[in-house]
Amino acid sequence: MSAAVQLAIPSLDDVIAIAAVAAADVDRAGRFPREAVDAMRAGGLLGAHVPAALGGAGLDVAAMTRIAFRLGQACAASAMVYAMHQIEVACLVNHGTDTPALRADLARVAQDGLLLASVTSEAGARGDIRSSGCALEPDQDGVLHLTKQATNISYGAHADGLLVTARRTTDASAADQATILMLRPNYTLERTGAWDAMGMRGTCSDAFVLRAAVTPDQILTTPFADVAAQTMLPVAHLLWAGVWLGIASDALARARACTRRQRAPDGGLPPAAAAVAAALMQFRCGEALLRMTLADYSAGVAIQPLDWNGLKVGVSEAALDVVVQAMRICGIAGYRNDGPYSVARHLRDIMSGVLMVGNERVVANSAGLVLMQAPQLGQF
Amino acid sequence: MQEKIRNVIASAAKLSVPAASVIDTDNLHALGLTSLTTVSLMLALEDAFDVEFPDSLLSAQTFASVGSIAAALKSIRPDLG
Repeated sequence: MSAAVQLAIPSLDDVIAIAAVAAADVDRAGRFPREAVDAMRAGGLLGAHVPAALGGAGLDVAAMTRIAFRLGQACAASAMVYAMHQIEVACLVNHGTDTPALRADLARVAQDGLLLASVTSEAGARGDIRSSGCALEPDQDGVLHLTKQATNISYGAHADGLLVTARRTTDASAADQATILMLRPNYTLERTGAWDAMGMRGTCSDAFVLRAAVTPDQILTTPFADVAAQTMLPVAHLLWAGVWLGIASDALARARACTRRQRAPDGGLPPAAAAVAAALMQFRCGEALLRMTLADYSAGVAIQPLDWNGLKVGVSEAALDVVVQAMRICGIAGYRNDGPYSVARHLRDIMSGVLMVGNERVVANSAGLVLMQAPQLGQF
Repeated sequence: MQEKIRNVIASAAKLSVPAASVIDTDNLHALGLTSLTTVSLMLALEDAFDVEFPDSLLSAQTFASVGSIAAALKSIRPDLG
């Protein structure tokens, strides 16, 4: 980890150690990784991306992605909570500092360590975040009321604030969405469904009915279409890729450690050593894709939607392949939920990468794009 | 310990000279130890001395001589001294 990160978040190693210790219990119980998030809050990690002028550490997206990787090695659920929170913070940093109310709230994120969650999913929208059914409805006092049936709000019950999409007015089209920041106590959540999933169990992505009353100055001035395209999707794809590679790298490390203990009958190399080497090559493909995209993003190079899709699909598939290979290498020791060579949790967690926004759907989205523009090839 | 190391070298390292003639400071890489036979030597040493070399010691220098191997083993298992 870079010296800048160590300087900004001196307790990062402690946060990661705390997340690692709790990871198995968080997974088994399907509970929120409270001790890891408390440590993030205490260590200033929740405000790490907030500009220094507003009390944060001012770390850039590249540093935030490297932290996501390290957390992913320790506890995928903690890493994903961190990633999702930072995506919301990035939306505010890039699009929410032009109104005094939102600036003040962003400063609170850093100073008080507020945890933000995302409310983009909605019953009936079939997973399309760029479409809303619910709408902001003003009363005679100018207060805006909103009721939203959210199919999932990750760690909603544990968040201090929400970034919510809704139609701008009751007359607006489904795609004419506003982004609203709401902090407790300006909203309530009624839990309508529980998250009991194969992996990423600690994200506690329950279903809720959101009821809120907000003032107009809680609305980001940038339309959600631009927030999504300019910040939410790019930062999400980078941070998720960091988390997935973190999970895969820990599985790979366990597979290597397991193989180091194996012995061939003739005193030669352990038979699984070649499989470890092959898994490493697969890992590097995903890592190279993230490294390239992160370098372009950090340098301000425009990245085409096709290539964001490519990052998402490429890294999630590579990471899944690596973990599956690690499971084969570790064998029954990997299949077990306990022991130093277990990669069962890794496999269950990494499956979410190809499913949360399904890769088939992402590729289908690229199908139209690839015919509309000739991709630039040979960019090295 | 040096004698036991030489025995392991004799069985695993495939040197161009008899292991018994290797003195503690001789460079094993100069005597025919390759990157591949280094792995075999490392695994055989782990079995013979019941140790596991940490990643930080997995370098060409560690396996460069009988003396450097002895030093590495002692750093993992001081009781071997």
